[in-house]
Amino acid sequence: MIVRDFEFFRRMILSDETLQEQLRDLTERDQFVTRVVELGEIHNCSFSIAEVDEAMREGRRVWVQG
Amino acid sequence: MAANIESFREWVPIRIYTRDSEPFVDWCYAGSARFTEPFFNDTIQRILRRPFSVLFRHQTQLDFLRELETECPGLDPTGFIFHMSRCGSTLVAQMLAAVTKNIVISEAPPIDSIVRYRGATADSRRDALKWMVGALGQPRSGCEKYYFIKFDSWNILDLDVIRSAFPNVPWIFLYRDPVEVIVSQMRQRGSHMVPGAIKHSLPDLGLEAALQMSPEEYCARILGRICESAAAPAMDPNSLLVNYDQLPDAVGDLILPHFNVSFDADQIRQMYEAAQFNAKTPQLFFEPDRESKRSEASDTVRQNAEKWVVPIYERLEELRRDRLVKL
Repeated sequence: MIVRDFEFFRRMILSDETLQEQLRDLTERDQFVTRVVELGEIHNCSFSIAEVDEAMREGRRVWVQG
Repeated sequence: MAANIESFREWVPIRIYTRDSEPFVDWCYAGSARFTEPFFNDTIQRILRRPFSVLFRHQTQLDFLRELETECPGLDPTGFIFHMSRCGSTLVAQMLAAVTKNIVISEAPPIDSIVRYRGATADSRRDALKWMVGALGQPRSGCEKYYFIKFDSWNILDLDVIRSAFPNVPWIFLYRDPVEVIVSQMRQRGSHMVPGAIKHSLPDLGLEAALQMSPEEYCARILGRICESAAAPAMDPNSLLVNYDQLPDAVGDLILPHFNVSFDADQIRQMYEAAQFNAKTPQLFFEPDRESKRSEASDTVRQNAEKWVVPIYERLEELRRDRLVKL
């Protein structure tokens, strides 16, 4: 089994609207992060909740700082 | 793995940044969200409450905007709003945003980044501005008909680039009694009132000299330059000068006809209902503040207003009255 990282998974989501639809409408953060990790496992991508949390913090930071 | 370009209709460019000396665009998913907050970034802040929009963001080269413009052109802009700051421009934008068939983009950093960028030719800035305006003008709900852009106040210093990109789009310039504007800026200064924050805003004044003068004088000089930039092309038939004193009635009576748009009675009602609230804090009702601002004005405020802004303010008033006579 090929295990890929979070960046690979992120690119996969961004290129696949069907996958996006499974995540877009989740508004509660913990539920969203859990679902991201589950979807990653389904697609042979291995990363932790902590990695997703860190990626979200980074996403917010770059926007706030411009 | 490449995304379908059509899918970008539901994404919004939220900032431009540089990577390896190349301009890139950061996008977030917005779905059918409308821009209803007083400023572009307030709406983006709301959109970024959605975890998906924070975590999954497209990063594209700036040139991708050209492809998007070709494949999925946004609405053509209906009208542009320029202003001297603290003069009712947010009120006008909020009144327009109250009508669901309008897209109103208010002081969007991605537009400002392009307008002010000095690392490219005027032609490149013109093209990039057209693409960015197209990307921000994507219809998201299907009922949008009109598209208004309120620029940052200092963007009128680059009016030539904006007009070269959109020579036929009608525009307005809003202004107000200089003493009242300076008092408002002294209460809470906008970024353009901090010396050095907006490059090229006073090209003949060095940073050291700017830092040595009083905040009132620096503010007055900036306001004077902004107003001068509006006065020079004020006889352009696409332009309309609007004094704060004419608001809010001028929106329905002058600005909508100038922008060649018409609203039905219900939409007019929605627009004027929005005018009852504080434009920048819509949770609060609007309270007139002219008297408090005038009574708060120090001698330094009055002297600098008189020296740097009042002459050009009076010129704008003359031009506005001349245009009214001719209309």
